[in-house]
Amino acid sequence: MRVGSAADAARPAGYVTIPFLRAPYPQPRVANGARVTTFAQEAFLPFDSNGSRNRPRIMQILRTFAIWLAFWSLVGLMFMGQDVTRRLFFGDPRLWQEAGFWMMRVVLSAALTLVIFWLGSVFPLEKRVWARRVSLHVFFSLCFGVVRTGLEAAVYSHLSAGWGPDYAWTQSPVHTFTVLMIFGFHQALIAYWFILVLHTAVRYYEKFQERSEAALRLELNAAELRAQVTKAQLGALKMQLQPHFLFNTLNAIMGMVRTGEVRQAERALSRFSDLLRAVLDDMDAQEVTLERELAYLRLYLSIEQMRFSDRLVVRIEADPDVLDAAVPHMGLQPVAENAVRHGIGCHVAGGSIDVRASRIGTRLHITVQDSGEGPRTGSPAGRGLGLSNLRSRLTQLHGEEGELRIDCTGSGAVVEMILPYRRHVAAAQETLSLDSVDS
Amino acid sequence: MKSLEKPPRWSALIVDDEPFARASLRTLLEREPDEITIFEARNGHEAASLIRGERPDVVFLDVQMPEMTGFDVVRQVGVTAMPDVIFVTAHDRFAIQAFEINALDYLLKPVSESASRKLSNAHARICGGAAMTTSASCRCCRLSLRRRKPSRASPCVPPARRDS
Repeated sequence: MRVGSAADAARPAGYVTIPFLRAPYPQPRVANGARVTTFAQEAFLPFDSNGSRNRPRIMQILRTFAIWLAFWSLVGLMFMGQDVTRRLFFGDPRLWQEAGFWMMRVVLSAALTLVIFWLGSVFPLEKRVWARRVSLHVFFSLCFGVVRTGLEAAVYSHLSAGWGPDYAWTQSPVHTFTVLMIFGFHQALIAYWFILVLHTAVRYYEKFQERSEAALRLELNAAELRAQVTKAQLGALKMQLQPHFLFNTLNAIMGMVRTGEVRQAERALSRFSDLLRAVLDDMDAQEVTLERELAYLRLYLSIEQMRFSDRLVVRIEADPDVLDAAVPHMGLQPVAENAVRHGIGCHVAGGSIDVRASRIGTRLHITVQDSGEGPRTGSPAGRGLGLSNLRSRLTQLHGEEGELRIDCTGSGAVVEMILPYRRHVAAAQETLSLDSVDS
Repeated sequence: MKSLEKPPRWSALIVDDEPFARASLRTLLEREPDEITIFEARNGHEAASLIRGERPDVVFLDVQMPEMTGFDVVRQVGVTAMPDVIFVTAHDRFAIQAFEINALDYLLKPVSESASRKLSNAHARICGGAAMTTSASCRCCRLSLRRRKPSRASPCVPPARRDS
């Protein structure tokens, strides 16, 4: 019970809880809180379920009706203009005699267009059932022709009463219907199929667009999610490096104080605070310039030198043209830590650590070599959690281009960090103050 | 009466790769009123041979060491052959693992004065609340917890977790 509670109290330090990442659900096109519908959707798809949902269906239908009324009015005006011109040419004084007829046809066409759209939406021409649907629409188009001609005949025979002997054929609605069927039925069929095909084409185009947009949104969301996860993972990896070093250094400083090494403790505290300040300055940065990273490394190694009682010689060399390269923030620290621990820490005589940075082609090579014996037991990969974390960070940042090579075969170990050379965006950062190291 | 009693004698092994970390713990242990023989090991290999050779009562074992971690030392020596272990670690994510291999306790770096208090608590826990300033209780502590069976004759009561 008692031990259990102690275990409960043991909360892992340095772990970053990755917040619950909620993937944004692909959203339809929305502006000012209202779903945006395109003109094509308004004009052709008033009955489709993927139309606007924030407006009553009747308003949607009225809008479509208005659009098609405008369209058919233009067509009607053209025909009426032709009729008026004909009458002018033949000196007929009843120029606007058929205006009412054309107006009726315009309104009827607009209304029947909606009927075709409705039929097209309810019985869409789909690949799966195309044969059945086509035959259904053949039947509908025949009915459409009959109904349209019938309505036209009824109105026409009514309007043309008293228009004179030229319109004798319109006196009986049945006769009018027969004549209009002979001259206008095929037009009705063509109109039906033309509008239906147009409707189907727009419907497919809109579906295609919607699918592409959804796919794009999904892809964007996936990319965003990947970036978030990567950032969280990088943050977690970076954080794992720090507490270990932090508390060990504090422990060493406490040891210096306890053993009376007060001046050394002062120096260590001064350097430690410099390092902390520098790290905190770049806390949110995943990458820093090599120059800055090497400055951290000098500070870090100077603290390690004191922790291991100055048994450590440190040499850092970097080509001037690579100092502005972007490198993982605190990336070299675990490499150096391993070099100190494995290469130097075990040996009474101490040793040296050589850090070199140079550019080979398009890649930046940073090698950390220690003069120790290198591990004789276990695999090189087992050299520490820090190195596997660094390898993960390199993979996260550079994919396959980021490499960490460990060679323990010779005398000492050589850890080589290889990453694509890229200038750091904020290469003009102020140079880190190293006063306490130089003193 | 108590003052006439000889301070208890026991031995401790400090295992850490950092000289100042070892020195720090040594200083703390030297502040104890008990007579403590202190051994030091700089790595896991040295620790394993000292445990086998000197058989200290308590081992202050650093968890993260090169080549051989504190847990590796326990594995190499064997859980039953190990003296009582107090793990010393930079952060407490190893705590659960430490208790899984029957560690007496663990100390967090930087090691503060609480090290000696934890040691006293550990003794008290082993001895069922008896103070560690008597020879009898100290003798009790020298017996490893794992090897001890609870009995009427002994005041030592193993912690509940050990029974499970």
